Amino acid sequence: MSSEDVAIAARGVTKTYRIEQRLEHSTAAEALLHRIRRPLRAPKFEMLHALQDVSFDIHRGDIVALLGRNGAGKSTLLKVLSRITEPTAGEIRVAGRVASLIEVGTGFQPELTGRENIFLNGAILGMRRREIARRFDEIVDFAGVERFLDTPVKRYSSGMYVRLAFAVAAHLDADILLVDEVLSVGDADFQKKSLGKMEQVAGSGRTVLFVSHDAAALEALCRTGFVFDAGRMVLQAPLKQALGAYYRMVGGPAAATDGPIDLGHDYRYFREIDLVDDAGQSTRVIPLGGELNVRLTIEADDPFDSPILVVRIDTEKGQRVLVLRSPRNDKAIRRLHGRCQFSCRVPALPLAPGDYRLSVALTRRSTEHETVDSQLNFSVRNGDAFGDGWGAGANPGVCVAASDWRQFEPALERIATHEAC
Amino acid sequence: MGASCEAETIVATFDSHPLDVVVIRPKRGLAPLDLRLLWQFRDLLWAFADRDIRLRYRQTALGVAWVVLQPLLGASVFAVVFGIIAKIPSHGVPYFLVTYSGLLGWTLLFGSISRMSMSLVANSNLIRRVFFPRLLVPLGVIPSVLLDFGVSLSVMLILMVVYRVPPTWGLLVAPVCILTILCLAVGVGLVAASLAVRFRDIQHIVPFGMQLLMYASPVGYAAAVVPAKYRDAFLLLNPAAAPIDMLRWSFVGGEPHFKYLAYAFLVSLVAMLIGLFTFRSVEREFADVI
Repeated sequence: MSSEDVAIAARGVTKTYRIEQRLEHSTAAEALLHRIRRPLRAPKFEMLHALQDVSFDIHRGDIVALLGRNGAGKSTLLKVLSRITEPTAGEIRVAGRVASLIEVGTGFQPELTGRENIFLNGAILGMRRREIARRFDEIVDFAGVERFLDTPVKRYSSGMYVRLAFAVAAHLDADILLVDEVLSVGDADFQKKSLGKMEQVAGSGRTVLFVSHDAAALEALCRTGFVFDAGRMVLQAPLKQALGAYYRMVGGPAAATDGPIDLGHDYRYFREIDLVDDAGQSTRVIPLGGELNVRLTIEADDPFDSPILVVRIDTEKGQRVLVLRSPRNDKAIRRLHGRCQFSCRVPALPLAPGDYRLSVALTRRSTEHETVDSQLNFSVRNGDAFGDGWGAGANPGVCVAASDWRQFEPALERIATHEAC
Repeated sequence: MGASCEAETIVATFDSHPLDVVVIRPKRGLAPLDLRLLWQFRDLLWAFADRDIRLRYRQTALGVAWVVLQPLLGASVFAVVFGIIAKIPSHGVPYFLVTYSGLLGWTLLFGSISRMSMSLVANSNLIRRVFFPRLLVPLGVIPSVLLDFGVSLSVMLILMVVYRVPPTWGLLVAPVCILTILCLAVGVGLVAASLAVRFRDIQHIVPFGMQLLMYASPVGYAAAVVPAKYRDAFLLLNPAAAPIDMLRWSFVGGEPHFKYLAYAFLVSLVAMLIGLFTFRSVEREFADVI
């Protein structure tokens, strides 16, 4: 391909965050006091290299998957590309209008109606008013909220809310689209619709960069994959090859270790994730049909009201098999404040033997506040879980369940004769 | 990775490209205002203003009546305190008109500064996640403040009819006063908003500072009642004093201070430029710090 088709050219892009060590001065007085008490000591900084010397060319019409563990730099790259944050070094040339579908619903005002929010959100994403007006019907139709256009979105169901948000973002006329984990919103039907929309966008010659843990969606859409590790781009290859490298990477060292996963201060809320057995010991192996007990440690500096905690379990290949949400009725978690610990238990885990990856998320209404992806790997070990002498067979499917078998026709006394036939 | 010669060929081809090319690279020092980008996003300013106006009076029983009630009630209390209790002279002008016309300019200044200063923090969700010219967030509060101001201004004109105060050529000075107050508010508001991103102390400092400033400004009294030997210092030290007092003068007359209005106008322009450049220069770290 000639360089005329280059949509994004990145050269030596680096993003470094300076993190002052454990000394968070959130008030001016604290910062001042600290300087007065220790006038000679320079503040200590830890450097966090979110992106290191990343270079690539993406041609117009390319659909690229960005792969890597959490904190590998994918989201930072999207943030730099969409100009939310500035690179520390390097240069990127971007040809054409960029639109990002990052955390849809950002900027929705609960008090405003659906109609008002479409215009507001469109403007925030950089659309002109008449452009929104032109695509208004299409957006409403896609989201399926015609009847509720003049209802404040605070009265929407979370599904409607997310659908409307996605619809606005997906109808932007952009040359380059940055998509971060938004295909996993809504119900199965809507996910299919979103994927279809993305396929249509991809087919129309636009350039798309994708971050998703949904391998099936990536395989359906992307041809190329970039693999990131610790801020560096380690591989640029056709998707199949890139996915393979990625799975080898995430299945690697993290799987073997027991003990709580300490996230440090990489995340705003989540501090530790662990899986424990009946005795409360950290474990990464669960017997078939055994109890799943996830322990979460969260720190919220400011009160966080009516949170919903989510535990998601994916197979090693990225297929989502289980989503557990904290209740939203009267048993709901009221508020997070300070250091809180939670456990999420499933008495008899219905997963077939195999390797799984566990992600956790903190949400409120339908807005995802924080997601910690696939940091914890565990396996389900085969065994005679249900006392039927079987355990799971060689080709067990995705889930298991205890089952009760009885013969009622023909009646028991006649079995012997039947078998004779 | 990253051969520099390769980068140059791309520059050449991009230059002949029909699409807009944006170069993303670290910036240092004073940032330019980038008016072109602001222009591209001009609809967002109105969208923010529209949101503000719609939200403020939704689910309120009296609704838009608050816009009229607030200054009327405020001016009545001030008229009682300064006119009746403190017995400050007003040279024949009904004291209620003195306080109402004083509150006009003050409310414009106070409303703009206090709402601008917390606007970024209130929209931190957006700033962390979406790209748009950040300047539009604090500037977006101004149309709704102006709308309130416009309503108060109409009430002022009605009050003049009610109290039979004839309009004079002095009214022509009012736009200069309004512009001066706005420029000053934008300057102070932008600096406060930029600081609030890093230091939340601003949300305590601004209301307190504004309270002090109100007593130091000719709101409940005219500048003419300040003893002559302090009056120069009074009008020089507080650049908000002259435009607030002159806005009152343009409606109800009294003693004018043209010289100080001109001085305040220049100070406000400088304040606005300082505000704009401060904001633009620290803007790049907003998403990482907020």
